[in-house]
Amino acid sequence: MMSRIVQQTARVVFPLAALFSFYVIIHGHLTPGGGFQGGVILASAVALVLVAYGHKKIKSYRPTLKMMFSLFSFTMILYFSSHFLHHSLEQWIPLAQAPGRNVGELFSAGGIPLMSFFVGLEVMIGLVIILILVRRAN
Amino acid sequence: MKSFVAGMIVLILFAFFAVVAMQLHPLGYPQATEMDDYFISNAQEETGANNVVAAVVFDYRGFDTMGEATVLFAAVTSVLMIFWGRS
Repeated sequence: MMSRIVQQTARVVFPLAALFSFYVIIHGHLTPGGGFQGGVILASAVALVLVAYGHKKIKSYRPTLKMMFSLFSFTMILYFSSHFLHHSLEQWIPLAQAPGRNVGELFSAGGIPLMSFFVGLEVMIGLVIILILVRRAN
Repeated sequence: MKSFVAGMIVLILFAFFAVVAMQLHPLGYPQATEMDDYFISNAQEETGANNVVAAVVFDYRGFDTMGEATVLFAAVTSVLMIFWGRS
């Protein structure tokens, strides 16, 4: 729990930071950044909210440890499957040269944006889990 | 005596590292550029990604990135393990 100024600032900053993190993740194959960086941006936004409001205010949704672990494992499996999909298909299908896959567009580069997205999801969820647990502990 | 020896060790180490830092290769002029040139000239054609770093991270050394994801998984799982019995 911090002062009202910090709370209102967090209220303004959080959606902007979330939007920016999704932009960084989705444009991972076009602009600097990628999955890891975008996930860390959203985790820092969540850290700002946790610092500003404290854990007692956000009591309405209390995920259990089992839920956290299963969600995180699910994103891990998603990333692994996208990795093997990309690296097994790229031997047979030249994804970059397929029709409609122009370099520089949002939907290009084969499986790289998919892997970037899932890595971003995994980093985001993992760091948010750590933040929530550490905040809950004290 | 002890502080004198400690000071001498610190001075010798400082001189050693200073000499090494003076003789470092200048930044921005790598000695072996074959791989960098290959990535810069071929990454866009081969992977279709504009971002060469993303192409290297997710395509050329994709297994390394998979290992990084596994390290993150192990870290978060160990934190969960610490908190498992408490709440």
